[in-house]
Amino acid sequence: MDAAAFLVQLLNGVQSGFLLFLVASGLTLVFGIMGVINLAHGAFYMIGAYLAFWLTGLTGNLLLAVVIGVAALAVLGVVIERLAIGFLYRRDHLQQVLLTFGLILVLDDLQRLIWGSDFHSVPVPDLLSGSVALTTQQDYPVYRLFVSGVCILVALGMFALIRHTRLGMRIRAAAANREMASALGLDVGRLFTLVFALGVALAGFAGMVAAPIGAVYPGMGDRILILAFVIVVIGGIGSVKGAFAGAMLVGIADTFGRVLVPEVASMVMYAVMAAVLVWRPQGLFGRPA
Amino acid sequence: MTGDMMTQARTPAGPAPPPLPPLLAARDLHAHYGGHHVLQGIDLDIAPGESLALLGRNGMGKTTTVRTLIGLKPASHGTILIDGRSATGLPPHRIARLGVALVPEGRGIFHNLTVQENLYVAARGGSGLGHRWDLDRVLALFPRLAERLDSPGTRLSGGEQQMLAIGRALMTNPRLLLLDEATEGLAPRVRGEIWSVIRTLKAEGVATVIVDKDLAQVLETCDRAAILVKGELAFSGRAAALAADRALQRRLLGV
Ligand SMILES: Nc1ncnc2c1ncn2[C@@H]1O[C@H](COP(=O)(O)OP(=O)(O)OP(=O)(O)O)[C@@H](O)[C@H]1O
Ligand SMILES: [Mg+2]
Repeated sequence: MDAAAFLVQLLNGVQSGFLLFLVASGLTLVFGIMGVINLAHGAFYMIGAYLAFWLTGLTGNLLLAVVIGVAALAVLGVVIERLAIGFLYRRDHLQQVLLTFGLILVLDDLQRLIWGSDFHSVPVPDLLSGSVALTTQQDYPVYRLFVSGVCILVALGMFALIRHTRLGMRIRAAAANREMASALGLDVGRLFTLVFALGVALAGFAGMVAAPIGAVYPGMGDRILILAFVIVVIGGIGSVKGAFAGAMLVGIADTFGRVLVPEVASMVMYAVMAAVLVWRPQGLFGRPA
Repeated sequence: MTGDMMTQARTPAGPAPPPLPPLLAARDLHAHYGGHHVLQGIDLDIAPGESLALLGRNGMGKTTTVRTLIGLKPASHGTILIDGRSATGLPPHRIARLGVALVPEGRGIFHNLTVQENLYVAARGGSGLGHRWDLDRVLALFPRLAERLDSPGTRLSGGEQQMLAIGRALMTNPRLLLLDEATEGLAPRVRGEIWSVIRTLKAEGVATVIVDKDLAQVLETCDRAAILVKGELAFSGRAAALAADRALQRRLLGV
């Protein structure tokens, strides 16, 4: 692999890492704060991709599709938290896994009912459809750079929300001590609904901006879910910083694995996870148990 | 207001005005842990600005009473009234927003928040009592917290954590403060500081329910006292009366 090809793969890996971070951060927040294992998280990524496909078809504009889609997903998140996830707090993990697995089946069926089982593609918006020259030999698509840029902004926004706003402070307090937070007058139920909706919106957003890069197809959330879980474990459960580090590791390792060792590519990320866990059993940024 | 007073002044023989409803009233409160009947019919009245010492030997139900009053432990039977209106079965955050705040056993400091964030996290305007509690006033009350605003809440000594827990509760501008184990495990000098703060709050018109093992101090500080024995009220009356009755103290508290 020459330097230019290496650079292309590195950029691909980083870009995939950013997308994975958006998905994994929602998963790790919901687990870290509410203690719920949400297997349906990948399905929200898929619904996001389908919404991008459908709404871009309707409006002819990916940006508009993303704005409408994110709002719709946030509402879906609120509804699902109120109707289902809210009953899982303080339940054991088996019940959580059963219910959220059931949610996957429901969301998959809904997807098939509405959009069928065909593969679809979403066109890259005209404005972003060009390429930039990395070297004299090597071009790189603008849209992929754009995705990385947008993900950086969203990630920074999320860190700022959690670290520096009153809302983020309250979410952290509720995560640390739910009873104490409520005894001080914080509506913990509403905070949790908000966190869940935020996670759904982030996963869906990732699915939407990823749609023009790959295909939109049934079950596309499953692979993402597994990657996201690997990332959460690598980063340390509940740590958003850890999710970021884990997502970058997995994004880059997965991308290079597919190019360098295509026969065993699917195992590369598990090897990375095993290596990290041998070194730090609680994950990169996890609190020791 | 003035008009009422003048009317009263002119008709001294008229009926007395109806007494204000208690800030908080509990009637026939029961609570269970599984099959364990921990509170067996508690009646409490706390008038605005009044302080109540809630006493009893270990495991008699003091913490459970406090938790039931703020809604953390739902009562299995009985009613809670705040300002004469039913607050029975309300979730804790609704009761808190009616003007009740908790300083729990073990302090309950948010370990992942800084001292300043702990103070701000639930800050609310509110009670309309005296002047409002804000960061400046809380830091004036607890100067030691001012030096530690940016450190994590748990990197504090026990005394500082208790100050933070009280300051955090005051930032919600409560009318009623529930203090469970107000000075437990603190150095004598720090205890003195906490008691003096409690007296300041009292002077400002904040009502308090205080659980503490320091009988002399708590009785000297409070207006009234209640003693729990196995989940029932074995005494309820003036704190001074209990302070004077060593035999009663021995019988109900074993001191
Ligand atoms: N979470 C719980 N589960 C089961 N039983 C409990 C629980 N909490 C308290 N109890 C029991 O309820 C009774 C009353 O406990 P509570 O904590 O209210 O007493 P207390 O008066 O605050 O005691 P202490 O002085 O030790 O703080 C005790 O017998 C205790 O063992
Ligand atoms: Mg207790």
